[in-house]
Amino acid sequence: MEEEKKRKRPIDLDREKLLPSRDEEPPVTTSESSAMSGEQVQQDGREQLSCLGDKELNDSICRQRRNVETLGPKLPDKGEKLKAHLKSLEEERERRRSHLVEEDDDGCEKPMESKNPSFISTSDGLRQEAPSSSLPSQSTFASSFCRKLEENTDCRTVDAFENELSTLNRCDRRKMKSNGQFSPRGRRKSALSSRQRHFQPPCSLSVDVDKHILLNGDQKGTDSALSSSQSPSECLSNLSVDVDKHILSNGNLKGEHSSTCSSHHFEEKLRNASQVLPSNDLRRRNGQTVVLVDEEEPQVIDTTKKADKVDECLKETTIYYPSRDDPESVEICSSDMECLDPEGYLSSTIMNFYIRYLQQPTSPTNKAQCDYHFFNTYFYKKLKEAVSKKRSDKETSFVKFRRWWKGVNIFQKAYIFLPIHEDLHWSLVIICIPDKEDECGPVILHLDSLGLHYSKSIFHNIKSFLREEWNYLNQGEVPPDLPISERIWKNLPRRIDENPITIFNGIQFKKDTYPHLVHVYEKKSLWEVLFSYTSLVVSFSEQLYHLDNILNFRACVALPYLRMVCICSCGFLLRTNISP
Amino acid sequence: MFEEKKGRYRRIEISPKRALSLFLSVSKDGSEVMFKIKRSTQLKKLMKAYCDRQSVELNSIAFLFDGRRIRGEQTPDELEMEDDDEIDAMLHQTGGSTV
Repeated sequence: MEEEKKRKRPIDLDREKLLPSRDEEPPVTTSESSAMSGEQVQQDGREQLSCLGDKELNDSICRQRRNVETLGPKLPDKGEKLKAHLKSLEEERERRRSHLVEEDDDGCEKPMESKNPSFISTSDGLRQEAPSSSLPSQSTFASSFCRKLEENTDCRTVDAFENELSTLNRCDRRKMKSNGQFSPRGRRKSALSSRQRHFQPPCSLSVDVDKHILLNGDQKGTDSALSSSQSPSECLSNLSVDVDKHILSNGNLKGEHSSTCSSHHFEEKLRNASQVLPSNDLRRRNGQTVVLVDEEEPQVIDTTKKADKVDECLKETTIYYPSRDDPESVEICSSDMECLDPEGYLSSTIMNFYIRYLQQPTSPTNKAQCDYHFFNTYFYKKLKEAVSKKRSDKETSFVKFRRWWKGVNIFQKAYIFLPIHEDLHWSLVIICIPDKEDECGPVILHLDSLGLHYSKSIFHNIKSFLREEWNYLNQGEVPPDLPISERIWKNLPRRIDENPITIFNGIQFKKDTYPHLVHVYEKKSLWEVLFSYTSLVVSFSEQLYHLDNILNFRACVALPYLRMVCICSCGFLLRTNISP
Repeated sequence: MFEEKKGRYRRIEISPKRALSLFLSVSKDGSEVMFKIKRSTQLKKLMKAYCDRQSVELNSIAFLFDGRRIRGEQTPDELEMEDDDEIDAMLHQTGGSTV
């Protein structure tokens, strides 16, 4: 972007250079000369030159010379325009030298008398020219600026600005530094200061202009301000600063991209057409614009992104239980914990973690875990698939399926736990393999807190699974018949009945709080088992106080886990009870 | 049946002349997708490919081999996978009861 601008308006090169060294004055006239056509330069140059004070004239001549030296070779026209302008400046100086009356340095000049032909011509020139060109254009500038303020997006006004500014502007950087306030000294030294004395001080001038802009009306204000001003350019430089401010404040207030854009656009044109603004002002403005458009919003986004990142990091943190190297380790990350929130649905990840946790030997001497086998939550689905196949496919699918419990003889386990997931609901099947001495054979329990799952089909699937496995293990040998007694199945409760609360006199069971506890197996033994899990064997009829404490403790500390305990560990606890 | 029993030890027998790459099938609800993968390639590549193919989220599916969940950074070599082995793609399950 910047490069392009440079190419289009080579003058801008020096702005870059000047930025670091603020004390140098911006080459105002160069920009004008390039921004305008040759004729305009001639014409306007005259007008402007006549407006200049002696010192300003000298200053600008010096500036021009420097510019011609430094910039001339770089310009496309080899500094022709610069030279021409310099020449016109010098001519003007010569003219003044030959005509000008000596003036007091204090600036107590008398109003010029019409007798002095040279001055008449000058002042006349101003009087006629200011109304004819400067003043009207100034007012159009003001009005168009007002429109600009109102509309904020009208780009046509920008062009108007450019013209007016390039016509009118004379930048005195020294003055601009003090934010458009005229320095009294410069004012006194100006050639036409005699006129100024009759009018308001420039400070109030700029106030007028401000007011005008703020109030958005009253052409009078501008007129008076302009007519009072001996150099419209200075007034304009005030104006342009104010314009800048207002547009900026506008942008700040509205924060609209379009307004910022248009103001930015306008500012650019302003800068290009006439480098009115001091470099530090530019910098400030640039900084503000960037903050508005590029920095502030992205900052907000950045922070949210960071927050997201932190969250993601947390969520992606995975734990391997019991260890990473364990072949049967389970992977769990913190986002999986969300399902433990109240009223959250338990996910298979958490279930499998807990299953793994229950299987982890608590101590090397404890061999209890050898007596049971826990399948993971995906097992039953697979089992159902394998069982549902036709005879020939069943063989092959079971070959693959058997790898799920590779090296485990199911019938040598006392208990097999089989979590079942269907229809957004968890239930648990416990296969109890009785001792050889017992005649009853395997017993299948289905614990379903809601009675949602169709127990009959589950029993059917598990029976055929057991039969398949039994046949496989005892191929050709002995009993072709699986010793599972239908009779016993029928006598066993298929699910944990709701047999609640009334048992516990005095204990306030809240069904809402402990939904799974309410679905309590009605047999006393299970209750004992349930709490033997926590190594606090609570005899159900006697130690109500303890029970209450336990429940409270669990509710406070680990309520979310309670549901899992109830679903998964009921069977586990049952086992410890039955085979002590 | 006898062959099956023998099959348990097959892995050890053929391990010296393992192929560089092997075919794995990912099955989900009865449908299978075949993949060819190098033994040393991390299985997350396969998982990603499968999920892209099926246009499902990677973290909505658990990949199981022999009933054990596969971790992304594991390789077929680590898991001692063989040709034509089957990986189960299982949707994560959620369940509960509203009170």
